[in-house]
Amino acid sequence: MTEIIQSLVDGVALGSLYALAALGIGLVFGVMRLINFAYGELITAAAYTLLLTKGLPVTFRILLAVAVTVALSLIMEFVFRPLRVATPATMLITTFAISFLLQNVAVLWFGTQGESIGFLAFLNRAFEVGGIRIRWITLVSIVVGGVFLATIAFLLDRTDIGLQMRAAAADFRTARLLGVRATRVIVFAFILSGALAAVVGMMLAVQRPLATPTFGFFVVIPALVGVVVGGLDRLLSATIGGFVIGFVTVMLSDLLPSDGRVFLNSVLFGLVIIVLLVKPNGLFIRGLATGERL
Amino acid sequence: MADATLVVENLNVRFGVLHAVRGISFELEPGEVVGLIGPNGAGKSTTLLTIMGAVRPQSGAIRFGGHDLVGMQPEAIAQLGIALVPEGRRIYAEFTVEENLRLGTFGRRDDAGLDEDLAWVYSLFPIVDEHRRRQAGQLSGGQQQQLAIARALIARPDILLLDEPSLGLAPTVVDDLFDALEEIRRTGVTILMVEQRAQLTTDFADRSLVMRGGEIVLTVTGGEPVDPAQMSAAYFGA
Repeated sequence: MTEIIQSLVDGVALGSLYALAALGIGLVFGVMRLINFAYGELITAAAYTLLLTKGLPVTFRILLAVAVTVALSLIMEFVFRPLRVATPATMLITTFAISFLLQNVAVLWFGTQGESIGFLAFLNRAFEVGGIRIRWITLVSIVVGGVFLATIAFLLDRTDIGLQMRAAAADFRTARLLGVRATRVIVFAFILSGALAAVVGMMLAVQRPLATPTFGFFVVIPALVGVVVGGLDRLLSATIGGFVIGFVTVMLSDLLPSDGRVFLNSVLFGLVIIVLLVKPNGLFIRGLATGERL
Repeated sequence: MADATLVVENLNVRFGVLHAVRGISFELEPGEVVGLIGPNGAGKSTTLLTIMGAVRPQSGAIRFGGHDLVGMQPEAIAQLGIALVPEGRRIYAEFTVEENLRLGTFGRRDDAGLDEDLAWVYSLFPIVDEHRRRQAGQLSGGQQQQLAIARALIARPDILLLDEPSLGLAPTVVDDLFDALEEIRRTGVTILMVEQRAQLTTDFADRSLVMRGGEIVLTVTGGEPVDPAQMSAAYFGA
């Protein structure tokens, strides 16, 4: 019993992280129909910023990590600007290119070995509640994930810029005809998206304290899978999809016998294929045939 | 605004091989109501979308208040005081009625007098007021059209462009719609309306332009009898 609760808690923690990454990808997709494959490199940038500021005050490192990641996200927005009218395929390939370019910049700068980030490592210590050992970072991940999800939900639901972002995601052309400034909405989406990447990067840096060029890449792959499984068209469904992937990953790795763990990804992606065969629009999208959008 | 006349000069729009608008010119005087009628595919909607900056013309100029609108972004044109009620209404079905209305306010130049404008729009379309909290997609077609016009008016435009406002509405609902447009006209808003209902439009408008094949082939002055032979020649070719 305690083992199951242990798995549940760990699953919710990783799920929260993937949900934030999925939301970061979904926010930009909503307003630009752009799947930013280079999102992982934003997460990596946060990790390397923490690495380069090792030994400095924690608050300063956090602020700088957010600043660097958001700045890089804004540079990406600027690079994608001429592509706003391009086909989704062109945009996707461009984000591949940026992703690999940035990974290779990291290889040239830091090498492939990986360096110890040394960020809030004490959060990996555990406390015990009724026989369950919970690491502090697990609790922090869940709380931070919840707070950011709630904040962005509030922003989208209650503020002018949020309304503009939702309108742009639903029907960009009409939104512009009504006076919604396209560039402002897109820039804002990239700022939020970058900030979320920084948060994900920092949470991960505590648990996987080795900065490598593919630090964020291996987070974005499952998060993207989650987004697709949940349904790309709705922020909520994409976010839930991200959460589910993180949650299921932990569940599977705990449930599979220890010599079966190497098949974790095979089992996971097998489930994904089945989901997409049954519900090609995503698990959490109701009705609407493929390609049909209101 | 110093000069709120909208001047369209020798406008040409091409979509690939299709020459949708062929060198049309016209002016909208402040406070004027102008109808744009003609058969399907005449280039009427394209003309409106080009004025709004949603379609880029091949050549020609669109002047308004010292600006050339050609090459400007749609949102910038909206904020100059031109509002469009798009074809098919384009209501955000999943948003509340009030959120749809709020989206219209982003086309305003400033928020001065917003409360008065809201009160006026609500008095013009009480349905919009009554259903504020409902999902816009649950409204009937006629109610959605009222919401679309309300959303355009809340931007406090000098010029209101309407693209087939009566499309798909029952006859009595169309009558109500034209009553509301009469109210709007009395506030001095300039109106350019694309319509399928030719008779209704020529009666209502100060002036109506008949388009066919991308050209303006006939101008009808409101209140003057229309020669049916001339009209059918304009619609179907001589």
